[in-house]
Amino acid sequence: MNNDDDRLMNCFLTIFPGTTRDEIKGSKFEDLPGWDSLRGVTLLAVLDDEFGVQMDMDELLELGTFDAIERQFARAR
Amino acid sequence: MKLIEALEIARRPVAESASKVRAFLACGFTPLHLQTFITGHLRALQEETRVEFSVGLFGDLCGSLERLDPSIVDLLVVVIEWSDIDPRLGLRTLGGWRPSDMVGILESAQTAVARLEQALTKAAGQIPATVVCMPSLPLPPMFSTRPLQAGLVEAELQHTVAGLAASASRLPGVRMLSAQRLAEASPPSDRYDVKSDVTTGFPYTLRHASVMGELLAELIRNRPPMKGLITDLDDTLWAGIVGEDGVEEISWHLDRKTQMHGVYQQFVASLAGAGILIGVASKNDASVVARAFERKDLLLSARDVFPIETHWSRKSESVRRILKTWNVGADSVVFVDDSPMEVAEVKAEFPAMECVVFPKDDNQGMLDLLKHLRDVFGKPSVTGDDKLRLDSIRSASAWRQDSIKSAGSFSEDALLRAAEGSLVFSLAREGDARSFELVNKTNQFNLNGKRFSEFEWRRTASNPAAFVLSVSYKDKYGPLGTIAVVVGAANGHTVEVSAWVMSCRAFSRRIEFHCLQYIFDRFAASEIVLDLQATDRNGVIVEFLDQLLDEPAEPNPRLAKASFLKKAPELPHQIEEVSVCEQR
Repeated sequence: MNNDDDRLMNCFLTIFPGTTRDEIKGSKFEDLPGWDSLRGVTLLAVLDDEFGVQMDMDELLELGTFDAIERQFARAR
Repeated sequence: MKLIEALEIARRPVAESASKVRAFLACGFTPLHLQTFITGHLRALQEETRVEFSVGLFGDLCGSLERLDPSIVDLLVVVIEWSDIDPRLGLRTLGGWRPSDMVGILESAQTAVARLEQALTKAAGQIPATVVCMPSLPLPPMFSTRPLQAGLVEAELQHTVAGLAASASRLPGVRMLSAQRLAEASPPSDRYDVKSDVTTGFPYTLRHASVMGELLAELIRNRPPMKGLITDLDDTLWAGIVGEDGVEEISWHLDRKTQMHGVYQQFVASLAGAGILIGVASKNDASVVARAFERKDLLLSARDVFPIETHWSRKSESVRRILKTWNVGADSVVFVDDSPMEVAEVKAEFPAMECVVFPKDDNQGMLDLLKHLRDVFGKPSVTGDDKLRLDSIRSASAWRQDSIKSAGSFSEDALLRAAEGSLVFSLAREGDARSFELVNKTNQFNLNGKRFSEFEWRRTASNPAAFVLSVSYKDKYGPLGTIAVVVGAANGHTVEVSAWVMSCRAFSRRIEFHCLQYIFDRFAASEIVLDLQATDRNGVIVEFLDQLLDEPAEPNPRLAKASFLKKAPELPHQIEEVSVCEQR
């Protein structure tokens, strides 16, 4: 993982406390413990704040997983 | 603070022993990140406080406030936006912006403001602390005038909301976030996130939410103000060197290009008026300084200042004497001097003191200094005791000097009788701001060193047997103001005292005996149980109780009335008035 990937993982770990890196990497967002629309909105705001990436909820759900976001960010770099 | 940091801080574990604050965030929008930022900033300021927020219903600010049960809330945070005044003033409700709709919008705004005022008045009377932020977002482009022209409807809306801010500011326990301070930290054009508002119901940019959260957290914390300012004179309080230039040549006026020294004078005088102690430390001839203070155009009166230390010794020596006279710690005092060398010398001697170089040739620097000083000395309100403080210190100083002079000539009883002292006892269910301040700052005559949060203090009244006794004193030397506070509960013939403090300015006057006598009499008590805990600074009260108790003072001693009466000396003061009132 590079530095940006670490930051991305840290965002997920903060928003979904109690989950492990493996759970985050291996799950769809909707399957993460504690997922709800509020967490989704918080995740979108954090991604904007930390990486300047603006998405809406539909795009986020379409990406679906941490790995997909990670790949999208890598392509954008 | 970034959102991720706020989330991390807000989720840090808090010690079980941390004080818990039950907060209610009342806003008409989705609280989302604002709640996170307030919590994060509060935790950053007060690590050992657990703030637990509950929130009201989306889109119903007035209703959320009206339905609030004040008995389960310690802290109320109210964030008002235009859409709470009328939904048509936001973008989420489509209700019409025709010119013919404007009268209806104004009428509904006035109704909503009246409801909010009523709900805030009710809540403020029962909740320990309330902080309020008035609308911070721009009005939408709904008016028929160009955006650069404020038309009648816009002006009427602003006027209606300003009226609410003014009336809420008068309510006890309510602190209003300054729109000016908010605008300095968060430019109005960068506050509104229309996409977020329309899609999620959260209308703020993250930056605005963070700034608002930070300022609200500061307002909630309500940091106690610094107590005293020690200022230099030459090239600080006035421009020029009075000993060289002469009394008539020092200046603080526009025509001499020294106006900002006059602004500093009127600022210092305003601090004095609000009860901040003002002292002078100047290397000068005392008689010259006295003549300078006689100038009629000086904006700071000699009566506003005590003591004035003028001599040629080191500044730190003057500062030491001033601190001793005031009996305050270096960490609650600011020292201002135009000489970096003097500032460094005082700082070396008193590392805890904030020492500031007066920027004498820099108008903007002087204005910035005044803003900083307003920040460290500002207080939510000015009490009667604030206005008395300096006179009280003068009186105590005069008493000490007379006591020293008359030692050996008069007995203590005779000296006390000659002082013509009188005491006013005020008994209430809940203590006032001065009692709260005294309990939280007194170290020496302090039963157990216990400090109260604003929330704990205003909750003392929830026990029906509880009382707060505040005692003020005056004698022929002048008034000392409120100098003692006792917090307790009366149960049958036993009074349990959980906090008892007395200002050191009131020592040696037997006021502590008067307090006990009053409690025994007022509650027809046969014994007083004292929650005594020795601290590293309260030896004076432990020693006092040792004299009265049959056994050496230990935790929770019981003082029987019979024992007290046997050992109490003559009580010299008149009880001028006893007021017993229920507060709020």
